[in-house]
Amino acid sequence: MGFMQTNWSIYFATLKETTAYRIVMLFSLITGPLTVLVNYVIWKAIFASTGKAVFGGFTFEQMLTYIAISHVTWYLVWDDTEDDLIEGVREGNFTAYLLKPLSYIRFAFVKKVGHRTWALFIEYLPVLIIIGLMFGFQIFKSSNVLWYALMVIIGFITLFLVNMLLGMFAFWFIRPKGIVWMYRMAARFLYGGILPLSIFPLAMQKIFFFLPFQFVAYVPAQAFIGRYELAGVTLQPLETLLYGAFQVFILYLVVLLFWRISVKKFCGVGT
Amino acid sequence: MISNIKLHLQFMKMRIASRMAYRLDFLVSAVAFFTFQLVAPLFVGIIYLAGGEFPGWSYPQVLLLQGALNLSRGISFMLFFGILWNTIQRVRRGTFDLFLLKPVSTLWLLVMDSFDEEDVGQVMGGLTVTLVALYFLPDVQGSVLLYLLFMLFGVMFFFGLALLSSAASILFVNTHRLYEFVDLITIFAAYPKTVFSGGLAITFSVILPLFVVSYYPASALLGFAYEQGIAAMISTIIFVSIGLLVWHTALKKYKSAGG
Repeated sequence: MGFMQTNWSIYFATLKETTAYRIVMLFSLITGPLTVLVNYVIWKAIFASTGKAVFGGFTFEQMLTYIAISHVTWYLVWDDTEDDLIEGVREGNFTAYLLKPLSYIRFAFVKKVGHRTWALFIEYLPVLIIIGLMFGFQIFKSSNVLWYALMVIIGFITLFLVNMLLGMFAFWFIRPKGIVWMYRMAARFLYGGILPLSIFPLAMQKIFFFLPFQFVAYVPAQAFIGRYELAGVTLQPLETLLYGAFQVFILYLVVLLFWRISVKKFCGVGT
Repeated sequence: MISNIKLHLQFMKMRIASRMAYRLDFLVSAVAFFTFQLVAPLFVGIIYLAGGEFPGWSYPQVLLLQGALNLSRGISFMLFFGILWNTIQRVRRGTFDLFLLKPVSTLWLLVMDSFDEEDVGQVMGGLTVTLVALYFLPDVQGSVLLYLLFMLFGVMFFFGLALLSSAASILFVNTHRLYEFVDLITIFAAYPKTVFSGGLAITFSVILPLFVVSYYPASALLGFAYEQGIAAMISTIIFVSIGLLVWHTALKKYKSAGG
């Protein structure tokens, strides 16, 4: 079976598998708009209290766009690669992957592509429409949709690689749940989903700038608005994209290296 | 009743003992839950640092409110909120049936089996946020007794929410995303009532008395007026009663799934 043929097989198998969860995905039609609503209420109060038109470099409309876009982007980039790997190692199912003439990393990545294809139609687009109906479609007016799409691809790969790294802790610890939880807590801030990273104190922004996590939510949402600025650094869209590609490349090398070391520790039985 | 309490304590001891088999993971998980409690206070801290504010509330006052939320949620998640996850897992695997065979109330058994020791991190986080808030608010003039009473009602509210969520999991298999909904609801409770418009403020005070877990206890301790507080308490009792009714009705309709 050729390289692409294998990928297509995994992709279509995942599409079929994911149809079983499409009702669960529909849950986002309630939680997505509600999340944006709660943020809308909070930010409205903050802007009203300051009496200023601009807060942290955002107008109220830009903040609403940022919140809405960073939220829906999450549906496209989300994955649970780390859970799959941890469960596979713990239950011993991972052995089956070692016997196949197929890279586990490639398998997991194509699986994610299949899974998120469903999310595009069941979560992303419907939630986008509901939010538009609630707050007006003008918040989605942008001339940077292409740049946004490219940044989403970078975010998609970044989150996958980060989660692969996280999942590899299963080779080192019998129960890495605590580490995963710890990461998830920190990630709420690191992605820029809770708050735009540019509102954080400058010292923290300098740290965020060198980390790849910003490409998961902050960079796509900012690209949609049409700008990139963090820690006093302003980048043009192409520069941002190249910087993202560089971060992905480094992350990929780290994943490959850590994978080679980690797999050697696998004992081949459920632990 | 006494034998039930003894049984409950025995369950808790067993849970802690089994978790101690992986001490490091337990410790890291508890620290993670502790850190989780700092997310909302950090968010608000950055807003205040950048020059924003919530009308009528200083940063330490908002901290006290969020500390109350973290404490009531932490206590609830440690003692009984695990019934949601437990129901989801057991219904999906078909092991929920085992509970129906035991000579103890099914709900009591489910609550006992759902003790979550890791959430001690949440309780500690809530306590820390509250103590930090009180450090910066040395002259609070409210009532401690009323604060504790509202906190009790806050825990009751979470019990009602846990019952309704668990009931949904009995009726509909694979409802793990209900946790997202619970998370989302608690986000509304992390901010003062003054942030919300009239309709939402009344909804969360009286219809779905969410403010009883945060705004009312904090207001009582700060000596602020707590309009509709009594209505919120009555509403909480009704909410828990509905929760119990719905849960028992769902149990009657339970059809073994498994698989």
